Amino acid sequence: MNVVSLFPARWAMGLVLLGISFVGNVSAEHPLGKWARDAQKRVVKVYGAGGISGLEAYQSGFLVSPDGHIATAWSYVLDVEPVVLLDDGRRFESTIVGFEPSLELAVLKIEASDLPFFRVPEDTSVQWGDPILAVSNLFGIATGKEPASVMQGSIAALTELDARRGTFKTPYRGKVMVLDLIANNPGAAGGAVVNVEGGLVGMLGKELRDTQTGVWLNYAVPAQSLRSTIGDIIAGRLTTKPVESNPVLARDKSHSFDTLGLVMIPDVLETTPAYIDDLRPNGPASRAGLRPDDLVLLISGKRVESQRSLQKFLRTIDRRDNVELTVQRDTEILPMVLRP
Amino acid sequence: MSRFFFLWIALSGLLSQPAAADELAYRKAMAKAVRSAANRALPSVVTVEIIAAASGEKKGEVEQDAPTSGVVIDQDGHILASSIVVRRASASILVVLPNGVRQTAKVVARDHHRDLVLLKTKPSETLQAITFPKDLNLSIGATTVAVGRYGSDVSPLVSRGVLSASERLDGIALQTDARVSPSFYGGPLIDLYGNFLGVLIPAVAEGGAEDSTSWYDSGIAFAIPSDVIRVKLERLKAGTDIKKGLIGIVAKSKDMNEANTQIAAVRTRSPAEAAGIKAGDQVLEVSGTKVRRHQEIRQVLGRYDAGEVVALKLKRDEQEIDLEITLAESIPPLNPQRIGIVIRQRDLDSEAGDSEDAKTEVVVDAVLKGGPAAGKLQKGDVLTKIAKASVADAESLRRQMISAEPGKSITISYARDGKRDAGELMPARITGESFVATPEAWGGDGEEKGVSQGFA
Repeated sequence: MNVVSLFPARWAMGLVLLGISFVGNVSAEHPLGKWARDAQKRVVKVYGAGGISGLEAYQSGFLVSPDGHIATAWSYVLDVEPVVLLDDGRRFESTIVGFEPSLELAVLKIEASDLPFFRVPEDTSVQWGDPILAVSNLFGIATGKEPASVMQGSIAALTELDARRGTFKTPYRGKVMVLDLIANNPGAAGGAVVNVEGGLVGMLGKELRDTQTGVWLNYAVPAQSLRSTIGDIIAGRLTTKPVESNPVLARDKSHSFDTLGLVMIPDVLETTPAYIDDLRPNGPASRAGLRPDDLVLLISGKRVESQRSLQKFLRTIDRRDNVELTVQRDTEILPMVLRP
Repeated sequence: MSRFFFLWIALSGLLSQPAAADELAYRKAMAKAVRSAANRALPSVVTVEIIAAASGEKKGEVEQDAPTSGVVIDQDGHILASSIVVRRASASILVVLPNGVRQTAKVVARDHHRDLVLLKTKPSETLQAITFPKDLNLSIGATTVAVGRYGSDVSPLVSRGVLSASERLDGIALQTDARVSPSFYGGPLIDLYGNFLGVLIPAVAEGGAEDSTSWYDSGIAFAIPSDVIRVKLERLKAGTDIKKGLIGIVAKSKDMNEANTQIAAVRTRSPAEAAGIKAGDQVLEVSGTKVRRHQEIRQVLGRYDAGEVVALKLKRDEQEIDLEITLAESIPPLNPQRIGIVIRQRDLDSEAGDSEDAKTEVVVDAVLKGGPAAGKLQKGDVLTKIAKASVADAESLRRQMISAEPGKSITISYARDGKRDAGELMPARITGESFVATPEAWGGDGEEKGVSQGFA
């Protein structure tokens, strides 16, 4: 009996088609692979100043125009005009065409054209928990035409940075994405954070310690915060936003315990708590309703670590202005406004 | 024929549908699932702030007044936080509720064993207590999410990982690989259904790092399981601090993983001594669990607190003994004693071996003049027992002397010229006066040159 005749022709053809479709399946490109690869093509390796005392002479950046504008982190690496290596290995000398310290942003330009680039979106609408990919040259592991490294993670939190006193040792104010991913490594700053659709959502931040907790922070600056400045720099409209800071005023211009009519407990410890000892009759503190033994918790919404830090903060407030304090009296928390 | 043709086309079309699109859909679905699970716990998660922490040497990288998280556990305002909030004395502890309102809180009690602190704040309508699951269905490898609050706007903070292991740190903690940094400490660890699995704590393995926060963001993080927390809450709410339970036994074998549960010595004034455990006993079971190694004893005992009763099954002289031991918070410190002899450990030939299968024996090389053994022991004596414990090697003798009770005479059994004998002697403290003499065995004349003060 002929073996072949056991199988009708249509079964055989069906099996062949099935086989082809399986093979096709295996070789079909993984879309995750596709958007990761696309992102890699837009991320560049930046080499500049550094290489001593543990400060690496490299970081990452990403293309934001087809003509070679590159967004990167504003850092010491840019103290010399950096060399840029593209994903395909081409080497360019770059010029710094603009920077904005308050955004930790710098824009470089290389002489090239028809490059793949990220569109910087107006609104990213990401939420905490969303999956992201971070593409950067962490640890400078890639060189030449080796592509940047891809890491997977998600957004741990979306939060406002404390705008008043600087929660972070960075002039940046505004929304920040805390990342559930060990993204902040040497060389990662300036890397691209992309969403599931392959769209840009942020730029990896520099290695920073969170000044509240003291530990290394994994974060990214949202792309929408960078959008208008990148646009301005590319268009040649360099606008420098005034860096918001709280300068210490001259002693005769700023507030002090004296101007508020406060007598605090003796400052004898390294961190003496800000307990009120006494009040000057009819002074701003007394009129506001403060009492001896009240503990000053917050000034202008910011936590008071010690008497000394309260004193320092008062030096940044004009003595003609009101002072908002929050105090603890036994177990009650009371907000107060002291009017001079 | 055409029917089958279309069928095959359709089928192959289906099969070549990128499993790839599933990948993206999976990630989006996971993000949604994490948010949904976290949102079930978040109404019970608060931020714990420290005001004016006392200064001192900074431990690890974490700031002394770092804000951390806490879990609301009942409508009376009780909040569980991690021990990090009481690391230093502070002027005030505040809790920030999910709606941003700040309230003062005070410490009710501490669980020193599990690094947890129970706080109490004013009851408020906005406080939502977390739901304790009826049964903790733990599955190693299952997705777990660390939940906390971060920043002055108390934003939700999450990190996703899996359950790496349970009963870590001597039986008390769950282990996860979620990225847990100090902002998470005190917050809940949940599963993808939003079930409350445990409370995250700063912890490292014994001797593993300088500080209990050193392993933040490192792929290993610990949480105290919620079923244990539920049991301990009564004591904590009553204001009773909880401490780890100690028993007071000294293992014979130096390697905790050796298949030997013999006890070399029992610490004086310890629960083991009070319960009647003796040197030489072999531990068979602890709390109904069979044990073959001292590490296993430790693993079972590790979860008990001071004041709790543990059942032990021992073997002594071929008899099985059942004991109940009440663990203690502390055991008076060791006061090592000495008897003033110079010894040598000697290998035995197999035939001369003793009934204990001993391969070595301890021989007296010299007796210090004026010491506790002077006049009782002689050069050449082979020591066999201290009280009831056999000493076939120097290590066993050393362990007996380390845990000896000061001021109590010791019976030493020895063999001299083939005959067995025993003698009583009163040991001396190792601190204080020392002998200044060189024993003859070391080339000296054995004469005392004087007495000096200082450490022997």
